Amino acid sequence: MKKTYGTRNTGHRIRGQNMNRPTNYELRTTSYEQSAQALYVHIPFCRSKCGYCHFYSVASSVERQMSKVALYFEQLKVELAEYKGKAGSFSTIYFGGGTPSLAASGLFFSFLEFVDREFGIGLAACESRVRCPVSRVSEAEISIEANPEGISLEYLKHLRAAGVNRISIGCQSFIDGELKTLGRRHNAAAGLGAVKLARRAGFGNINVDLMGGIPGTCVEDLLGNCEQAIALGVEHISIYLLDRKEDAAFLAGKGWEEEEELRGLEMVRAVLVKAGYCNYELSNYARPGFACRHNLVYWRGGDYIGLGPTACSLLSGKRYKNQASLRGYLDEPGKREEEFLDSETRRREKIMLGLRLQEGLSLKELSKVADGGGRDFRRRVARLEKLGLLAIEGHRLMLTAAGQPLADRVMVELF
Amino acid sequence: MEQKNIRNFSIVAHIDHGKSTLADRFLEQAGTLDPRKKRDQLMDNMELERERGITIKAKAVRLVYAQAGREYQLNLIDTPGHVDFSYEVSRSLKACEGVLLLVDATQGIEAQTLAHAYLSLEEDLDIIPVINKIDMRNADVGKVRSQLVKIFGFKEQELIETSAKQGDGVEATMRAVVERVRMPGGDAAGPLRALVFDSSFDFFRGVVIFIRMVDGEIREGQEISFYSSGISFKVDEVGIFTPERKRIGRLAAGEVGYFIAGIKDPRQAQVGDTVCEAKQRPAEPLPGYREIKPVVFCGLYPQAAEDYGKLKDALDRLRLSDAALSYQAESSQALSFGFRCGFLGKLHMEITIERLEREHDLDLIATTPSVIYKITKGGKEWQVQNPADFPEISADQEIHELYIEISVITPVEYMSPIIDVLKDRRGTHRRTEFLDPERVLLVYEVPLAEVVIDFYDRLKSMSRGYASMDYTPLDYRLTQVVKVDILINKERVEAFSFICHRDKARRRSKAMVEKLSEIIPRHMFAVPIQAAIGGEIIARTNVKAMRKDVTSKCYGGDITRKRKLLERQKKGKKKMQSIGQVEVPKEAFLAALKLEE
Ligand SMILES: Nc1nc2c(ncn2[C@@H]2O[C@H](COP(=O)(O)OP(=O)(O)O)[C@@H](O)[C@H]2O)c(=O)[nH]1
Ligand code: SF4
Repeated sequence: MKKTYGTRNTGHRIRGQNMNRPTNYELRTTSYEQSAQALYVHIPFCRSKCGYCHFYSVASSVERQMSKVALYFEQLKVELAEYKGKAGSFSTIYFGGGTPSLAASGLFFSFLEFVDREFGIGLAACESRVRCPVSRVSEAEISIEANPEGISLEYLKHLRAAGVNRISIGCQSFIDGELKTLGRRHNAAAGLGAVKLARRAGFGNINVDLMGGIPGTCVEDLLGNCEQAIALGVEHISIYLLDRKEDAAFLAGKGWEEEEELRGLEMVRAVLVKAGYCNYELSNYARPGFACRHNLVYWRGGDYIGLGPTACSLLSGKRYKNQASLRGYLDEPGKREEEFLDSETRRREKIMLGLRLQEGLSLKELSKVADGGGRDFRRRVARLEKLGLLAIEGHRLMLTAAGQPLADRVMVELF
Repeated sequence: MEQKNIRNFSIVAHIDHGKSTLADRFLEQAGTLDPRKKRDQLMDNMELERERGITIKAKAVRLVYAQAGREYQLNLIDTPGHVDFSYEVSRSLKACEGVLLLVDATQGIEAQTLAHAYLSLEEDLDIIPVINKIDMRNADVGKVRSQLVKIFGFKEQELIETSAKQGDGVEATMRAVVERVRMPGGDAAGPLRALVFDSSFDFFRGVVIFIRMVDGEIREGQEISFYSSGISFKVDEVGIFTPERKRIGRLAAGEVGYFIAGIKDPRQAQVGDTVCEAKQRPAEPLPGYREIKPVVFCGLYPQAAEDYGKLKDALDRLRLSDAALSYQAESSQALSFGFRCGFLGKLHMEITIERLEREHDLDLIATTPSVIYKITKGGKEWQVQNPADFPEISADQEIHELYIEISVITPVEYMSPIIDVLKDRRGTHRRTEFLDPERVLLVYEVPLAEVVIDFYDRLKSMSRGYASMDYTPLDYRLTQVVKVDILINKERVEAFSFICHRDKARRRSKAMVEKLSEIIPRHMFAVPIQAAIGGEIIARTNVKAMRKDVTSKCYGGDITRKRKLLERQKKGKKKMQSIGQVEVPKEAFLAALKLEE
């Protein structure tokens, strides 16, 4: 079984020599360790804060704060300029949040132009039927997170024109009651509408976020949501279960029972795989060729640069974390904590991240940071194999279907 | 000083009835303690004892008291005050001719009041009854008076009333000591004979030996020997406590004090031994005491295996000031290296563990306490106190266990639940006696094993703290006890094994496996926990398999935090003890210790 994930494409044809670039993503893993090719941009604004959310963002009425957001984008450029020389061209950019879709499309346009000028993302004029003289396409994967609430066809088209070619829509659910429990501002119809609009705007690579384990719901509700996403024909689906460990405060003990969670995970997988999606990461499903290249960089241990408050960068064995304050960031975008990752830490991260992937963890890669995978590694792997939680295929180590719901345990065993 | 001007006495009381407070008043009255400088309750000098309100080591203080133009030397010999320690009380009493039997006017007679009174009667001491805390609003002096008259047969006019707190009646009490306690006997001119009634350890000088002089005198420079061993030493220092240590050079017949003779090993100065002149061994030693034998045992293990040496040093040191403590090295598959320790009782055990942890900065794991069993088979007899050494069941062996006589005094309203518990603990009723319309004395014979686990706490909580207890050992009796093994994931874990009566094995096993299943975390596979006698499983439960433990989201901004979460999980695992494939947290061992009946 060999799977490759790459950008099938974005619906645009690209002019010139770039056509010959390889699309098989897997083969280029190692290059990411030499210089960052992934750029994350945090947009820390939301209409209001959702109860379960762990991301850093400030709730603000953007209408009133337009100038502030514009200023923020300027600051992002200032911060990015610092990385000149530490990154070549970017092959993925990800605008995450917060709610990036609150920012005016023009800001993305100018920001991407800046990135292209300073680093290169292969922006080129579009030759398609979109008759817009300023329309750009890029061979890089450029994603944006969007909330269903308040996005218009117009806006989405502008994003496309700015070069954004992948959109991740925070539908969470297609059931009004669930959305209410979650404290989302949109309803189910808005979620469906947003996906359709994105398609009409020309997005050929759409992700939908879904949430499971919401108090008062059952596995069937989640499955219904999956069916809905499938029916919408999206290329990518992320499924997050609210979690006893991480979301304890929000759940207040009312979440799913373990048996339900397990059944949920299993059934979701069955339904999505049957519909042609590949469970390429523990919580992520994609049609072949539509795995999120940006996130793959994280999971494969590649270097990346992150901009904005709380964003992290990984560069040559050091991780940097920006301060968790918008105000602080606006004053001093370069202020960040540095963490040196020694070989043991790198080994653990490789295990923790690699095992999330269906392709698994490359033992060869692991051996580069720790001989034979570390002390006792073989013995521990053998034990977990015997328990049916791990499998080895060639030089790759991966979780089995039984091991997936116990991923954290297995990782701890190998730490 | 002439013997006729010497009085040697102790104060005995139930805990908290005011013994230490009264002792302080005596010191002030006698001018040995400056009230402005007084430290509270000087004789209780160990921090831990103060916290727990009990005294472990007895000491003696000399008071000077003038009456009718005559100066008296009053030696106040402190006694420890808790149920485990009647041995230690009795050895202090051997040094006295009289006691003050102190009773709290708000509480009346309690179990240890009785125990102490009987001990004093056994020693044929002059007993002066004192009713304390008469200043308190809820004092019921009349009732306590009639209890004392009814139960011990004191005469009304013998009863003294005090408020140790306010100083009332203290003078009268001291006068009573002079008038009612007989003078010490002994031959002042004869060859030296002195009774060792306690010792402590000074890190610069060695063993400090407390003695009660009987015949002759002891001087610095003198060559003395101990009757039992015959080993002789040269006396370096002779003195008294006032309460500070004060060197006075010699002690005469009837006096109480200490001497130091460069003795490094406390076992060479056994309590109860007779000190005599090296060259003139008397025909008869003084009546000594019973040797103190530990009756309660448990394994003590350091949490961190590398602390084994530290634990050994700590025990060695503690033993210097606590002759009753015994220990020998042992090892256990789950806990690695530690010591099997013997104690006088459960409280002694708890205090010792606390001292080791606090004073020696150790983290310890203590195994379930056990008692001694005597086993006879094919004409051979041997003793077992460790579940690990318990023999397999066989028809031709007999097992005997120690029975004690337990006295419980309780308000009448709690009587019936207490009787239920005593019955449940295999108790046999001996007698019931109403001390007054509201308080009753219950005397039962029960196996010691039934009392070492959680009995005292039960008693206290059942009676809202009002019941009190005391016990004395009786004898070994034939019994039906079995060893229960605990198997975790099919592997026997010696540290959890326990010995209990056959009739109770099921119930205790069930409690044990259930407790363990609450504490042992879920693993990636189901973990069976079973209790077995021989090969027969009598209780079982399962720790269900952990089936889901996965973090949904893990992206670039969160990797460090997620990694640290897993690292913390890993660290938690490391702190546990691996038994086969199963990780058992240290709390499990502690919980087994605290397991309720
Ligand atoms: N009101 C009052 N309190 C007293 C009296 N004697 C002792 N106490 C208090 O009772 C408590 C126990 O006294 P303590 O001397 O430590 O008792 P011990 O355990 O017998 O040594 C302390 O809080 C004392 O202050 C007294 O005569 N009157
Ligand atoms: S909109 Fe998204 S980022 Fe903002 S608070 Fe809600 S979940 Fe968090």
